[in-house]
Amino acid sequence: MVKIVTYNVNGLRPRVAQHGSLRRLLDALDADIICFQETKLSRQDLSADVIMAEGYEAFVSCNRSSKGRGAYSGVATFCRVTSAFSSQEVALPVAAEEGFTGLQDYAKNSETVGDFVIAMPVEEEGLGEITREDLLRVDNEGRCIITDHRHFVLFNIYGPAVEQDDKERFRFKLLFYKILQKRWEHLLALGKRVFVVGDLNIAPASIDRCDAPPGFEKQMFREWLRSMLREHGGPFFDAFRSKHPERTGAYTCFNQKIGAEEYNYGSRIDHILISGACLHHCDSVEDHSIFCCHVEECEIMNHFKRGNSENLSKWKGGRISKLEGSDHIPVYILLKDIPELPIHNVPPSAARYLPEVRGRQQSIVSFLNKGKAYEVESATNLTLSQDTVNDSYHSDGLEGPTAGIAEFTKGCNVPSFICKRTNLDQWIDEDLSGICVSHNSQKASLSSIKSVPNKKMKRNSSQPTIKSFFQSPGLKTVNANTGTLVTAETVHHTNQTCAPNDDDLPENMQCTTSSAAEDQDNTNASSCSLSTDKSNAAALEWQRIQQKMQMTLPRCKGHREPCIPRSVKKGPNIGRLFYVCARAQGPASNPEANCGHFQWAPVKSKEKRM
Amino acid sequence: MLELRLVQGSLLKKVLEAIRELVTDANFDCSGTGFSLQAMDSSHVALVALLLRAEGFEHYRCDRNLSMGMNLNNMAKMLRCAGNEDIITIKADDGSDTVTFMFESPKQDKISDFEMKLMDIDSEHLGIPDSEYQAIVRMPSAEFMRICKDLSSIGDTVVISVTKEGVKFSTSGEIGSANIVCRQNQTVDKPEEATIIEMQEPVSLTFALRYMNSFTKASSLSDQVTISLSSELPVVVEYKIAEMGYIRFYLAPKIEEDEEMKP
Repeated sequence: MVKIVTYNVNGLRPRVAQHGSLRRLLDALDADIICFQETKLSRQDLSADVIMAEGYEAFVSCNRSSKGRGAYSGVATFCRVTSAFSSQEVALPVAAEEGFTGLQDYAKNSETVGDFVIAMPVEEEGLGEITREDLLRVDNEGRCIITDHRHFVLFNIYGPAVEQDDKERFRFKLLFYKILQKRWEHLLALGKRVFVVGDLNIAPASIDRCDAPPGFEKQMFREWLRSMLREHGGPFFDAFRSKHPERTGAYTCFNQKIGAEEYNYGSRIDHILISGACLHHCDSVEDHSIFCCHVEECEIMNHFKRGNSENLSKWKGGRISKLEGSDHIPVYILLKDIPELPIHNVPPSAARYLPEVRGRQQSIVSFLNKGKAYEVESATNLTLSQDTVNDSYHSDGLEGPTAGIAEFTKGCNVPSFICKRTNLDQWIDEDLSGICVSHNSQKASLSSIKSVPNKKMKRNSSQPTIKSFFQSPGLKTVNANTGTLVTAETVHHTNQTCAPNDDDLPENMQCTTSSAAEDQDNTNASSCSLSTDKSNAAALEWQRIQQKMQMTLPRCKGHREPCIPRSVKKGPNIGRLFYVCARAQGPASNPEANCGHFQWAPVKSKEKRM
Repeated sequence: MLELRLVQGSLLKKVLEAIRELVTDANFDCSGTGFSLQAMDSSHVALVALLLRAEGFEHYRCDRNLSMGMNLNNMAKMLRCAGNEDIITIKADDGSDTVTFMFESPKQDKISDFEMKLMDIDSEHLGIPDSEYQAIVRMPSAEFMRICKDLSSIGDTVVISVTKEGVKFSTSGEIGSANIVCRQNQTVDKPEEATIIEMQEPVSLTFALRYMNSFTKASSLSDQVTISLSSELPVVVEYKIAEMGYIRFYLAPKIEEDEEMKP
């Protein structure tokens, strides 16, 4: 069995930090060959902690273009091997090459897989004259690593993304794929099997994009990618689609700016394309191919989806929480019956021989430490880290009772999501029925938690929307009843005294509220001391203020929920404030998703009154 | 008729720089007692209250209560045209749709008039209750600004915990965590460098650093900042304005959401 994973990591360093170490990240993916895209490592940034992991050999390509975007793009292929020398493992390549044109100076000294020489001048329809410089530029952004595993040649590709009307980059992308195609054809003509994995930034068909607009498939690159596939006369199997021809809603990339994860509003642009004959000794081409005979499974690793684990709070316009993780999900392919190779050594272009990595003292130190550290870590650290999480929550000095019974648990996402929804309904109810009811319901839910001390809780920090504050247990349990009384009275008082003169200063307001508090004291002399009453009154007054603040925020038409403010970033209306629906983008068919609400903030210049 | 003459014109400049990031448009209210403003930020999470008392102005004339809607960025643009030593006079006629800012150089050899269009802004005055706080921290405003800035490079939120030992600011983020403890310190030579903690009971609250950072824009107004905390109330971050008033920022704490998980 050989397992290959492709994963656009959206920055290798953040992913390494997320998982604790490179080794843990790789182990979590659990594959023989792991292809990362968008490592965002520049050549100078290469260091052992993000490239070298025990048990893996790495091959990297960094962005070398002088666009001033050093930490940009970049691909890396990690091969899981027991030995870097004299190995028979398929995962250890016999040769490796950075880039795909075979023109790179730095590739001159190293091997060129399949002895590829590009014919100059290059003729390509609709691209005009292509110079050697054009080709070098296309190959200079760290978008391709080729590893030859003898049974197959593996392309780890990060395809360029292009804005709608960027002519120059459009040509770049076209050239990238056209030359790449030449390379594939060259290898296929030699009888090699070609595997192409990576983030191609192309969704082949309408089924691969949520709410694909009409004419989606007409786009040039989508047509090109489909033309590469078997169904349209090309050489490649789209491994995922061929395994799951009917599956809808299978996406690998989610726009993080619109919270696309929440309602599965994504696209499938990370692919594993394979082509070539099977390894059987059989002459009939029918029913035999690398796909039919050797692909056991190809699947999207949905458990790597952002917001899938502990962090499930709602998107709310991106203000609430930053989800940890990449905006892509890894995809894997499992191949069976792949025989071992003759004994071979790690190719000289491996990362272990890079001067940037090899030349540093740290790499040796960390290498020496690794053996012990990992054993200890893997054995005890998981449970340990959970304990520390618990401890830290306690020491943060949260309200006594809740912190005491809180137990931090991971997993079990579905029920907590349901719970969210009920909360939401509760909020809407509260809106209608006002302060007293909501306060009581809050009390009720709190006491129900208290009565079952072992109930598992999930903790989640959230942005202080006024509403959420309003929900917080404002009072001590003793005063629940008198508390609601105070609200009614205070509201009454302040309304009476404040209504006529709106321009009053805060001081005047303060007088009225404190007198309200005194009144409360008189009517309820038997209760508590003045100071607690006063602070209660203040708390309730604040709840009223915050509710008022909340009420004045525009509501969206789809869900009647408070909008979030945005401001115009460019154009004639620059700086102007507007409000939009706070929910995450989703398919149009889902009423829970963003309703597309838009309204300008209500401000206008004063008209001349003459 | 409204005419307010402020000798220390730079105060008004600083006030505008302090709040224009948080609030885009606001009504300035003038009454016999003073010049004030109360406004929410655009997401209605934080509240700003500004007061400049009538006594602080060299000349204060306000015939009847007046509310003037202004775009704070535009107002700041105009005030930036005043020199730091200039005397600023705010003038408006009853029922007028403009306000005039007059800048006089200290030597009286240059007088500038800037007229700005007013706006209609719907806003409701909120009665902010007087309350007692569980803990009040007074500390150098520059120190507080530095802490907020430093912590926001690590995390999104700050936990402010007050105990009798001192006040602790902590945060955590993707790259790690940070804790800063400031001890009570009254023994300094200069009173503006003191850190004083008045505590009834220990309190610990979580706030969004984005807002805290925005509040510290007012640090140039005062050497000291007062942070008042109670577990049930929004925090008050107050900067005194040279014997004549204050600017107060109110922010609701973040709450730790407890979500029940079904077994």
